[in-house]
Amino acid sequence: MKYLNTYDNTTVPVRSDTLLGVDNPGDPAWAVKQFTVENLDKALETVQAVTASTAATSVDLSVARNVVVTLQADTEITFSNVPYPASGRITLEQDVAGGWGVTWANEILWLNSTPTIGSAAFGRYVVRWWTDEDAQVYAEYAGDAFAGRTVTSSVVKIATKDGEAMVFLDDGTDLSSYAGTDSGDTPFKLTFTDSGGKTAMAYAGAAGGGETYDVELFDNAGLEDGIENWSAFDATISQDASVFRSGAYSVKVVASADQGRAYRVFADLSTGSLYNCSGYVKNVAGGQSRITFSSYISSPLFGDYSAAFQFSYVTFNATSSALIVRVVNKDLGGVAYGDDFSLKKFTDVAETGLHLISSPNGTTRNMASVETGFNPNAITEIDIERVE
Amino acid sequence: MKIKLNQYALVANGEIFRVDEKPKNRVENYDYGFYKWMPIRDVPPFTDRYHEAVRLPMDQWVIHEDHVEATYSIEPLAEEKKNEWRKKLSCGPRQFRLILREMKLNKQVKDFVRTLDEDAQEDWAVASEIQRMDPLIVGAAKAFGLTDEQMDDLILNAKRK
Repeated sequence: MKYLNTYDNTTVPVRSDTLLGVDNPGDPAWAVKQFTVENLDKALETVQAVTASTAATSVDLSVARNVVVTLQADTEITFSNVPYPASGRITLEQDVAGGWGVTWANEILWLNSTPTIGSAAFGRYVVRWWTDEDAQVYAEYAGDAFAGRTVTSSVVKIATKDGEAMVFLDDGTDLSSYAGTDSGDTPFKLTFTDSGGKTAMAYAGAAGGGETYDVELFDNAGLEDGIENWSAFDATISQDASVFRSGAYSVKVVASADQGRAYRVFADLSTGSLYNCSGYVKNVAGGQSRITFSSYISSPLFGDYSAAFQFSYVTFNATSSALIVRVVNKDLGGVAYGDDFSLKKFTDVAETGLHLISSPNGTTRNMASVETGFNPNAITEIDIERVE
Repeated sequence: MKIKLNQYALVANGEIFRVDEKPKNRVENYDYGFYKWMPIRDVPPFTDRYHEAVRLPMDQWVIHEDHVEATYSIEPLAEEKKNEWRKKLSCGPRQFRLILREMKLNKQVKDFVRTLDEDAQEDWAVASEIQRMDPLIVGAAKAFGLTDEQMDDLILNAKRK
């Protein structure tokens, strides 16, 4: 019998074989040990690391139910000591070369269909598994899990345009302690340094008045009026009535090559202004899909393929020719749908942000200086100096 | 103070081993433990002008489920650092006289200036900027029994006139 004492949150007797992964391997399976509830949580979160460098790889699930398999060769994975009822996850991590394939020796009943694991170098692909009354393994491909897709360190969002200069940190870090006013009191100087070492400087005015936006700039955002203004690159695109988030249509992208995409170009945005871009993407067949927003011409960066809603803050850069919104499928033959887009210019930042003033105790909303080549979308450090 | 962005920590078995500026997009596994790069949230706490936030060694940082938080202690600002920004502190002569009037110190200051030598009196008369660390101002503050902090406030309040 196993149980947890949830009343005093202290120690309770449990079967050691319910704590696979942290128990002493030398203990008999029915040895009764004292575990705190806290330790039990920790036990169930234990992970084992396995390297798959040959054609056959063994994974002993009695070591831990969560497994990270580093793929260094095409391999067939065999589970042993499958616990039941139980559940866990297998993270398949491609090595620096990538492209390694995985097959499964055990009979696995897959939810939907047997997945094809992605091949990107350092790509991480997650499979969730579970058992019920016996050792029959059920599994579901959960998607990719590239690092950095959820929490990142603070990222600076800044408008550098004359009359609009303002800044905030996207993780909600409160900068209002450094606020002065917009009417002649700037107690702090802020120097922003980008990844190339270029700097921009301004003085801290009033705290933001709450996040507000200008008018919607993305016309026909729900694709209800066709796909005019959308273009295709390595893809066939069309207005589609079978898949949509709202209304009755979406834009459909069938990739004819890797990274096939539909894209819209917004060329007449305001240099130095800060924009909020968003949209919904759905992957239906093959590959993985996402939306990208960038203020420069480049290949889409992949890192988050499965999220339905994606958004980005972009400062329209002086060196840009356009803001490009893309609906992308990573692989040839893949199908992606995009719908309900939005593109709006910030008119004010949240109360945790700051207005920026161009001179000490001045009243003009502008940067004091911006070094040539400064990239407002790649700031790596803010130096805040008290000036009064 | 500096807010550092895009910093990552190599974490293993509840310890931080090193910090790197470049994000790592992989988990590193060795024969023991579970190594992982985690984003660092490195935002010093706000301090008043007489204190500073000093970043603690990384073995005292807090490891959260999905990120590492750099931690700080609040320490008194060293005198030389206080004097650094005091040297930058100044106000206009009219602003200064307005605040003296408000504090009912104007007559005492006039009497004090009359005790100075001729050059200093002339400087006071024609000054276009009142600097916090000007010897005349520092001397006057001592003569009136004002603390350094009170004198800082006086100039800061004058700036807002």
